[in-house]
Amino acid sequence: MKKILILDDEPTVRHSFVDFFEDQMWQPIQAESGESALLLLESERPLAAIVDMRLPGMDGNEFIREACKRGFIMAFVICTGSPEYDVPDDLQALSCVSNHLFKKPVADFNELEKQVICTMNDIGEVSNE
Amino acid sequence: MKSTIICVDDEQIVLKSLKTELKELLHNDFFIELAESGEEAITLFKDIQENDGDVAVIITDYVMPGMNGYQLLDRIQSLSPATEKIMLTGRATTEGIIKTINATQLFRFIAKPWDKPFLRATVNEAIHSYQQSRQLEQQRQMLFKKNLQLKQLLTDKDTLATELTNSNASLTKEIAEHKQARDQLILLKNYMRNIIDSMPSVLIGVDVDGRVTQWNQEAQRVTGISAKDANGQSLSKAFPRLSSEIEQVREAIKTRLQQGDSKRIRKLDGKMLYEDITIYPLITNGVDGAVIRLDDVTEKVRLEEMMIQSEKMLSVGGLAAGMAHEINNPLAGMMQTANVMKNRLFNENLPANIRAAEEIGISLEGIHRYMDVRGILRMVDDINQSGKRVAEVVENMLSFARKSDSTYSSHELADLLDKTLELASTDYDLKKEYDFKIINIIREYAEGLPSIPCEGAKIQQVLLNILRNGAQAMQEAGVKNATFTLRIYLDSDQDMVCLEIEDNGPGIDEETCKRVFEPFFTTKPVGVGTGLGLSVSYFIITENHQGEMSVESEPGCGARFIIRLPLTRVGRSE
Repeated sequence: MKKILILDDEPTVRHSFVDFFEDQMWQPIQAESGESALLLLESERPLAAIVDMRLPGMDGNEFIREACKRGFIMAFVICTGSPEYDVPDDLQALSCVSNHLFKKPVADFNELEKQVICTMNDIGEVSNE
Repeated sequence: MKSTIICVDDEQIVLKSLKTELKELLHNDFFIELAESGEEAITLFKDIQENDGDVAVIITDYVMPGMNGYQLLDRIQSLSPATEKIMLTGRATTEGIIKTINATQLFRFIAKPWDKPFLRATVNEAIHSYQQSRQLEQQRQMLFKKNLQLKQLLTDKDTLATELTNSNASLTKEIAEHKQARDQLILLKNYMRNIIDSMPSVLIGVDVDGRVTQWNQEAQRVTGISAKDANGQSLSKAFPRLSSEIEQVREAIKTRLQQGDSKRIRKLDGKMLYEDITIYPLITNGVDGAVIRLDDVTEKVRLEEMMIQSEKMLSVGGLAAGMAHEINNPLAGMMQTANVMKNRLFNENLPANIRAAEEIGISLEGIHRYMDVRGILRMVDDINQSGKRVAEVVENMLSFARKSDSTYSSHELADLLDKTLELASTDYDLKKEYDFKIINIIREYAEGLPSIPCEGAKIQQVLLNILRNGAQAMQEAGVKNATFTLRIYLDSDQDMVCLEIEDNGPGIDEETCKRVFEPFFTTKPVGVGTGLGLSVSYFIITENHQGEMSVESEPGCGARFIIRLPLTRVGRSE
């Protein structure tokens, strides 16, 4: 089964993502901070991650940067509750970061899954080249 | 003082006998002086004159050594014309006698040797004549003195007259000054009157008894009562609206403190008007009374309300930005969970669902039937609907924040409006409420309009909002032949583009018109509208674009929204 990391400090939100991806035949793994998520990447090697922005400790942006720096090839889809958040330019330039930004509450989970798969495909194309 | 008689003869003997003769005649009534020559007589004469004496008669011989009788008398005539002159001679020539008589006004001529009675009579007559002429002279002098006095008096009179004229002149001047002062006073009074009259406020002066003493033009205009008619009337009669202020007027006069009411509401033809009433006690000049000032502040109050509204929006925006994250997260927990729940309850194709049902030995069909009967789907949908509304409110509230305006670009309003119409006719939510395609659209776009700098998406949001409201209103009222008339044109000052959206729906009553842009104001039933749509629109136009937005409507005749956007970007007020 495809592994997907759910990074969100809010348990109810995290659970809803986990439950959804579980139903869609994914194997979700959970983390409530960027730091613990990085540790999980080493052991679990997920293909994708749903990333919240505001987190205790390092924020979502830093987590993505750090993950890329450490050479993990995976898709990142950002999902935030902050209305004024915009994806920083350096992350937008990366093909592993979905250019579709989801704002909470996410009304359409299917669209979310679609973006996850799309981004994974994008990476595949890039790495195939 | 006695007068003197001088006798002149070169012969001692003649002098002696003359003296004797005169003594007998005159006793001691006169001094009798003798001189032996003309020269001696002149000296004597001058002596007497210098001692304030007078010579009444001079009797002289004609032929004498030195000065003769004629020469002597000629001198005497010039020294004292009044002195009577008698010539006493035996040997005078006729020519000499005539000359003497003519030149010296000789009184009498007596031949030597003299006839005693004739001499006596002559001397008497001469004395008499002298005395008469003396008297005459005195009278003349008195007359002269009187004359002088009279002259003095006349001069005095002239002086007086001059003084009178002078004081008259100064009086005239004073009167002129007085008049000038009065004119100035009138001028000043008129000036003050003008000032009072040109005040846009109603200004009414009242005395202690509440009677009108002053009534300016605005008071006349408002009441239709002239100052002439109002003066002296009681306030409650002249200005019934102010009759309730009488107590305050008394209070103001008594306490010498300003009284007043601000933003007092009154209704006129169903309109709400606001006025400020201020009562100033008159504390100078010892005049007891007060001035009532009445100002219509309706416009000011409206402006204040608009500013308050704008402030309200901004504070809502600021608050929203801070709490959006805090709301969105639990909301996500709720809604996302509800979504997953719905999927687990109703999705018959979900392998996990099938597997779980099999494991506990229940058919999915049975579960569905149960949930159908118990209305669970509706409940889950209700949770989602409610969640959506919360999200919408948060989203709308966020629009009130002053965000960066980096997305400004050039757009043609006609283009934006057409795109919005297209969007409206395909919008799913909108279709549920109204089928947009059956609404007639009349376009009245002016040609050659310039494009304007704006945030296209924001303007579309505004237009969609207005169109949606209009469509809903027309549907609810069951309007047949529902029509939107859309106009775009350049305003008369050529610096704004105007866009009008007019419907033929039920219209908006005046009270609603006033509040339609207020945040959280809605006429829709609870649950349908958030009361934020139009206020967000208003905010986008006025705050984000420095434009203007207004609504005009008459109940029954549709509503018209007017948006005016500047042709060039106005400097931000921040």
